[in-house]
Amino acid sequence: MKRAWPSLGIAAAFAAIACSTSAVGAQAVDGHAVGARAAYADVRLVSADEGDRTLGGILLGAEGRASWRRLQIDVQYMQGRVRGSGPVSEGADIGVAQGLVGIRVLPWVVLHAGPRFLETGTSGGERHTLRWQAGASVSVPLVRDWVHGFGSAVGSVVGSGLDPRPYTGRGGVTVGVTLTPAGLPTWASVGYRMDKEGDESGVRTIETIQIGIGWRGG
Amino acid sequence: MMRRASVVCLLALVAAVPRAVAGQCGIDLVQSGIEAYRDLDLALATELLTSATELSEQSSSACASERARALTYLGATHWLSDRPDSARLSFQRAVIEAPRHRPDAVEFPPEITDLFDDVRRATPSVALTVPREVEITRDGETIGIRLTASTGHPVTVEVRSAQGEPVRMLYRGAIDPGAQGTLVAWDGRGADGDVVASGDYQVEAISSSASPDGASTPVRMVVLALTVQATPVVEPPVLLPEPQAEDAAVAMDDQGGSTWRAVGAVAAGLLGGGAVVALPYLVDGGSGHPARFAVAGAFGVAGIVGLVQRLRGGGSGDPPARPRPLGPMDAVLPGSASMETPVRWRLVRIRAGALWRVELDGGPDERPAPGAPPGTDLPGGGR
Repeated sequence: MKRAWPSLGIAAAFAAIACSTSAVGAQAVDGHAVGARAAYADVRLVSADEGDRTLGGILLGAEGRASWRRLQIDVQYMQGRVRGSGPVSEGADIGVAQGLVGIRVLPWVVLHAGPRFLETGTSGGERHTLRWQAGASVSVPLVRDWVHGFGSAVGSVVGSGLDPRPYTGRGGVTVGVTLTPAGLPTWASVGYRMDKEGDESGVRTIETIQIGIGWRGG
Repeated sequence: MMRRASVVCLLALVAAVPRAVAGQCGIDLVQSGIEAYRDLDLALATELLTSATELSEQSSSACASERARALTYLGATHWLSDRPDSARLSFQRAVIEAPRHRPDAVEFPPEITDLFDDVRRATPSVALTVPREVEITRDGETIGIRLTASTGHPVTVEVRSAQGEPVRMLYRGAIDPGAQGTLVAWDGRGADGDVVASGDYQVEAISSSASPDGASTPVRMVVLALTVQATPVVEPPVLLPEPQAEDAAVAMDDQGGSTWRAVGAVAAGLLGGGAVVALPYLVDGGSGHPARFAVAGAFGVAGIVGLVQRLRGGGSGDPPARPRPLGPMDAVLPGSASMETPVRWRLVRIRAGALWRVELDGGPDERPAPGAPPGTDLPGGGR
C-alpha cells in the first residue's frame, strides 16, 4: 500500500494536467485543434506513514479538440515516469486518458464534464482508476486576439469503483496564457496548475508547469 | 413695440417610423439571423444577416439603426468563423451607418466588443439629427443640427446650394464624441448675413481623420438636403451668437472606455500572474516550484503589453490610426452675424429632406455632382 502512494500521486498529477483546460483553438467555435503538451510535475506527498516526500518528472502527451456550435469535445492522453529524489525513491509509470464534453454557456465560458481513466504502474503492480470530473473554464483577451489568459477549475464529482480508497476531496485550479498568432493556424500555451487531494491516509499536492503547442483549423 | 407678423413657433416633428419601415428594414430577417447566431449556426447566421443588410440598404435611412445592429451580429459571426477581416469590415459599415451604435457587452464577448471599439475609433463618422421642419420667425431662432460621432475627430459643417456653391460655414472643429454630440445651428442666413433665397440647399458634414503629423484628411461626408422658403416680414433682428467650436479637451478622442479596458488587461495579467505565484501558499502553505514564476511572468508581460497596446489605440488585426489630441481649435465662422449687422427679418421655413453618405478618398473636392441623392428619404424628424 505504501508504494501505491507515489504512483497515485503522480497519477493525480497527470489527471490534473489532463483536465486542465488548454486554450486549444481558443477562437474557433466551429473547428478543431490538435497539439502536443509537456509538463513538469512536482508531487508532494504528506502521510502519516511516510512523512513528507516529493517526486518529480516530465510528462508528455497529445490532445485534440473539436467544436461545433455550443458543443466542445476534448480528448487528451499523457504518460511519463516520475521519481523521488531521496535514497528510497521509487519511480512510477503513469498513463492517463480523458474525455471532456463541454457546453459553451457564454462565448468565453465553457462548462465541461467527463471521465478520466488513470493507470499507474509500480513494482507493486498496476492500478486503474476511473473518475468523473466537472468544471468550468474562462478565457479573456490580453493582447488583441493573439494572447489570451485562461483559468479553469475542476473537481471530482464521482469516485471510482476501481479505486477502493475513499477520497476526502479533490480540486484543482489552472491559470495560463495562450498564444494564437494572427494568420497562423497554430497555438501555444504555458500554464501552471495546482491540485490538492486527500484520502484517509494522507494529502497530495501536485504542481505542474505545462507548455503546449499545436495546430488549429476551422 | 414688437409686432409679430406671424405666430412664433418652432416645430420639431418627431419622426414616427411607419410600420412599413419594419418590413423594409428586414427586421424579421435580422431577428432570425440573430437567433441563428445565438445558436452558433454561423453559416445560417451569415446568410440571414447578409441578406438583411442587403435588403435594408435598399430602403430608407430609417433602417440605419437596424442595419447597424445586423452588421454588428454579422461581424460577430464572421469573427467567430475565424474571418477577422470580414468582421472588421462589417463593424466598419455598422459604425458608418450608426456612429453611436455599440454592441451589447452582455451579448458579445470582450474580444468582439474590443474589436468593434477598435474599428469605431479608427472610423470617423457622424450622424445628423434634425427636426423635420422648422419655422424661423425671428432672429435668434435657428434650425438645430445635432451631430453625433463614432469617435472624436475633426469635422466641418457647411451649407451649400443645390449646385454645390458654398453658402455658409456653420462649424469647423472637433466633434464631441459623447452621446449628446455637438449641436450646430443655422439661422437661415448666408455668409453675407442675409437670409438665403428660397430654394434647395444641403448641409454637408465632412469627417476627417487626424494623422500623427497633425494633418487631417477628409474621409467621408454626410449630406442632408434642405428646402428653404423665405418670406419677407418687417421686424428688426435680435441675433444670437454663433455656435462655438467645442473645447479641445472635450473633443479629445473618447479613450475613456479604452483606458478602462487597458487597465482591465493589465489587471487581468497581474491577477493571473499573482495567482500563479500565490497558489502554492494558498493551497499548501508551501513555496511552490520556482518555474512557476516563468508562467507568472508570461501572464504579467501579456497584461502589460495589452495595456500599452490598448493605450496606444491598437486593436485586433490591422493597427488603427493612433488616437491623438486634436490641435487647438481653429474654428472659423465666416459671415458671423453681429448685432450691428443690418438685416431684414424674414420668416424662413426650413424643411429637411433626403440624407445620404459619401465616402471621400481624395478630399472634399471629390464632392459628387449635385443632384438627386441615392434615394434615402428622411423620415419625419429622423436623421
